[in-house]
Amino acid sequence: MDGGPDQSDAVWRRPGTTATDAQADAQPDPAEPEPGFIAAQIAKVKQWFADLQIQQMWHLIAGAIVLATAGFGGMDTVEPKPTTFAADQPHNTGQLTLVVHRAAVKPSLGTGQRVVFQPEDGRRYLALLATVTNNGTVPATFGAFGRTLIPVDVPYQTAYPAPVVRVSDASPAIVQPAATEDVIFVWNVPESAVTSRTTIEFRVPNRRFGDYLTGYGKGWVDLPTYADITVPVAVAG
Amino acid sequence: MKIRNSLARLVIRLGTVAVLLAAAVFVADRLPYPTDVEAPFLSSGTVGQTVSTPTVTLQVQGATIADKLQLVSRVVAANGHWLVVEGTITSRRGPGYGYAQLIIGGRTYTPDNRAPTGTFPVSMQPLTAGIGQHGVWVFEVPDEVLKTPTAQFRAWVGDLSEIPRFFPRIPSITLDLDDRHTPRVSRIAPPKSVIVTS
Repeated sequence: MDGGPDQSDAVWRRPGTTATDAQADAQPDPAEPEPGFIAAQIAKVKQWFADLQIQQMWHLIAGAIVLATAGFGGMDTVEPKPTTFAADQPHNTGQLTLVVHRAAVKPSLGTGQRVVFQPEDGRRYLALLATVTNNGTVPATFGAFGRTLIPVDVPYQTAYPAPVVRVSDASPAIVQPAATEDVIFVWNVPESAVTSRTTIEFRVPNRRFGDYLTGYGKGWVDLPTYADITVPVAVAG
Repeated sequence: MKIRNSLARLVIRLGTVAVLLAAAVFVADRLPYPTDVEAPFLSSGTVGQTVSTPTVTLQVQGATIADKLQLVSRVVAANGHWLVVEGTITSRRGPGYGYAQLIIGGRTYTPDNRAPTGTFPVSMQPLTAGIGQHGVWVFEVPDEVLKTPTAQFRAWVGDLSEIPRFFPRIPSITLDLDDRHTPRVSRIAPPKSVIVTS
């Protein structure tokens, strides 16, 4: 290898020095005081870092990321564990106490005297009978801000004339505070999505009373936590 | 003071940013919400008294508690009891519907959607400024809530079932729910609203 100007053996090129001076400089000066223990350790660690190759530094960073992730609880338990509840058992969503009785898939729904949910080609009505108690201080309107029950893995549209109706007279359900009402939740679903089903899972978000994130006003808003219920469905016609 | 150490400068800057952000979050979490800031001013009144605010004049003649509601073709039993408030409402500023709320023991009740056509809020015709209408508001109230001695009846004129924003003045009528002031009947046929001519 060619001797460059900064190589230690090229010190003879520099003006005003001699080779013997350079060799003397390379040796530690016995007159200099010994570094303290801590300073020596720090120097050692610094030297260890300085000696690392680029690839080894990446290994070090990867290790640090893994340790930091573990320090924040790891990557597994950030999602809350799903809870489940059974049919005919009361379940409290925060806003409502919900007792799910049964579910059915039907081409049309009515009260006996009249058809309320009209039959549509290629569509079925998924209906779920439940008893709802309003634990809050404002009426439960089952409106636009959050849904009480969401069918899992079933595409659906909002049923006309109302997504939630009273059992007594099929009027759109509004449950006043402290009242208990038998209601039917209805979804308009494609026939092909439900005809082969024997059970359907519903997701029930937990809710809290607070400010709406968008818009104006206060009401019951969904929390990230939820409970699931699997209901056997009787598919008709 | 001039700090020459670049590491110290960086630490001070990051610390200042962290403190400012934390303080901003602390303040933002404690800011009052518009519904609290713009909460309505209530004009209190009693049954029989005419309460006037810049937007609405309200006089409540009384209330009745009924087991069943007589509609045109059927009778609807309440999930609890029907509480029917009878009153005269006049818009003083513009057209709208006569919306109302009933506050009992901290709970808010809204007029029932099974009430027949012609009862407030959706009366036979919208309220017109200066022309009063006499009619009823029909509420469904659970039995245990009716043990509360008094209720507040609040009414306003607007296009929404929500209380209007920006410091509205809303009449708040105190109703005594005992037997003497609020008679109990087994069945009530809510009358349609009529325009008050006087």
